[in-house]
Amino acid sequence: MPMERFQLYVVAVILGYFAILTVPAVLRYPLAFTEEFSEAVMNTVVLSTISTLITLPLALVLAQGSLRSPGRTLAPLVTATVSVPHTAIGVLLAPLVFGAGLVDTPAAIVIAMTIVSLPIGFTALRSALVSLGTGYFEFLAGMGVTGWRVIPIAIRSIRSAVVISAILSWFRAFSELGAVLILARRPTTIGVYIFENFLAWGAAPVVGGSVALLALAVAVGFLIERLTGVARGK
Amino acid sequence: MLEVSDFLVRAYGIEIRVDELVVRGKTALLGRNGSGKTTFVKAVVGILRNERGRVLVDGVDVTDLPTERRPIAYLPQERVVLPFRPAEQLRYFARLHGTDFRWVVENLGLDGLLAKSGLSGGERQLLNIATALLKGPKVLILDEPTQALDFPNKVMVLRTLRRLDVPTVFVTHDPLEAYYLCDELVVMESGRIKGPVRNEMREWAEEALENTLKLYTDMIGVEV
Repeated sequence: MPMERFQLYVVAVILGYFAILTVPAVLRYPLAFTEEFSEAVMNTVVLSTISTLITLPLALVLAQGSLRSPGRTLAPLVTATVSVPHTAIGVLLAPLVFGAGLVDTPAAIVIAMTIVSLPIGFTALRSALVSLGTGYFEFLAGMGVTGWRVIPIAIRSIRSAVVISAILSWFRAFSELGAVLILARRPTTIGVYIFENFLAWGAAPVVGGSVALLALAVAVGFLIERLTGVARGK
Repeated sequence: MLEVSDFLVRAYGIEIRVDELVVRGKTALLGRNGSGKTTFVKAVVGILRNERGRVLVDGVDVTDLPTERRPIAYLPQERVVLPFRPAEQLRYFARLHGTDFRWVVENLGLDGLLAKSGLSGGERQLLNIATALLKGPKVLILDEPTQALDFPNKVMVLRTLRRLDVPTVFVTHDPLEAYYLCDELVVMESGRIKGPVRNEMREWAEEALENTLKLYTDMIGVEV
């Protein structure tokens, strides 16, 4: 049964990976939560949601436009920020945010979140649109449906990808630290809260919150697996 | 009527040169895989740009029009599944083109399809052909519409296509289908078209197709 043994190894590696991430911290520190932590979570939830409401339609339009030239040629400009440290993104956005007087405002955080989550939402949607096949769009073009008019039809064809794109964009925004740290430490977002408290007090006050965030991310991970059908062997 | 003349396309690593092709009835465009059939029809439809030559539909030059404005309906080779229920799909495109979808349904005998939600491959193709007709095209270009269909579904599509009275380019690599459906045949090889020749084999193809279908009906009880 070589396959079963292989599956055992896979399960062991996955659980080991997760254990390294959680067990030492949970054993060493109490799972405590503070009021400031809840407040930071709420701030981040609200701002991430606003950011996703901007990111998703933008990602849809860009993904649809990137299937053909010149959009296809320019697509790396949208995805490039994934490979740059997000503190660098913050530094690059600084002249704009500082110049507009937006330092330490919710607007600055939303700008940072949108910039870093756009490539994630864009890539998820673009892959789904590509999987529809060129014939799909050629047929629609032949039927007089081009440009903007394709989008409502395509959205219906890639519904689960739209949901996944929204979830991934939202979580990318929610987890953003680097760019936010440069542009706006207030209102306090969860990444900044953990960073500042760790610097001031060490890991103890923020382990509980970090574990809770990880648990939430795991739950969403399983949800995405269900949506994509991977968990059902599709 | 479709007229293609002095045509030159370079795409996907192949060069297509067609001196003249005139389609009045149903013309089969036969050819082996990779001979350039799809590249050629994509250029006629306007999805690919031709470097030289003209495309005329009923005497009107459409060469410089974008795909969506050419009076040509095109069904690509890939399986197209739009996110509509059958009736909803026809209604959407009928509204878009200011036509009534009922005449298409009646003409093609698709009444039974409208209430369905899960369509077979053949039914899906018929729905897309019906959709394409809602544009009121003067020319129909079908790129291997029966590819990947099982035999009964293939016969269903071919029988329906025979009822259409629109000049049609029927791309296929199956001579039997071409003989069954078309008035003329042209063959493409290495980007060059040979022909046309008149279809003298229709009766033979009808007999072959109907006999094979009878096998299905008798042996496994499949009705088409």
